[in-house]
Amino acid sequence: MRRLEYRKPRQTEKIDKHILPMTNIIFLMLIFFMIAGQITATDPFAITPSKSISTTHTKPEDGIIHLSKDGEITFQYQAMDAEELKVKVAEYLAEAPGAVLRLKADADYSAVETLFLLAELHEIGVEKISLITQLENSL
Amino acid sequence: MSPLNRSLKIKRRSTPISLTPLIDVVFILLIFFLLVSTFEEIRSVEIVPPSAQSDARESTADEQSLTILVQGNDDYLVRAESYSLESLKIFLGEQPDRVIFVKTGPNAPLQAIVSLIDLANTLNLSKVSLVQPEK
Repeated sequence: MRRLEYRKPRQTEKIDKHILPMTNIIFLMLIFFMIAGQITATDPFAITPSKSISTTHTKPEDGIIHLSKDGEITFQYQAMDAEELKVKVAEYLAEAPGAVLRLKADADYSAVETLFLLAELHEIGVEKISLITQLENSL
Repeated sequence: MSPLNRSLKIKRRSTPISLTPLIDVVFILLIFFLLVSTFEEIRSVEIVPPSAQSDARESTADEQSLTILVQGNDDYLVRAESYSLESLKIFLGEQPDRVIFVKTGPNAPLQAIVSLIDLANTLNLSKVSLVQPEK
């Protein structure tokens, strides 16, 4: 009996050929999200930063204080109250003198309370603080 | 042909590699990046915290200085007159050399302070100080 030279494609081969264009699209989307997105640590609570036209970037290695709309405070992602914050910030500055702290505070949080907090930080040696903002197009 | 030769001539069937597991992995990676990526444009504004020195300078302020009371978003009080951010921009633009002290009202949100700092930076006003609120 003559052996057939043509071999019928297997079912999986048929499916694989049809999936190839979709694979192309998926790879393109993956590359897009890998390049366009930024991977950052999740905030301990939802914070909507203030909008600003400033284009200055922050350094991710700087110490960070989170301040929620309800007045909750974290330092380096650990929850604490204002008194403990002063102690921890003083320890942080002792280890890294001259370090610039970042403050991510909700835009709707009370300005008075924020300034109280900043004044207390100034007393323990914080000369400048970087307030994290969202980029706004124009003033 | 001897049986040995025949067996040597038998070709091994190639096993095609299925693409399905590869697509599974790619989908998982895509979902991972979709979930962890953020598209916020994060920037920062440098703030000098209020201090006892700025309070002292504000208390001895002369006519060359200006105290702006931040009452709310787009609501600023200067010498008992209320200004919006736009009108304050025009007002301050005419007085570039003033020393400005920023006080906050009890209901002012942080956004109002940031907008004022942006305005000062836009107008290149370097002498802007935050005043510690009264307890």
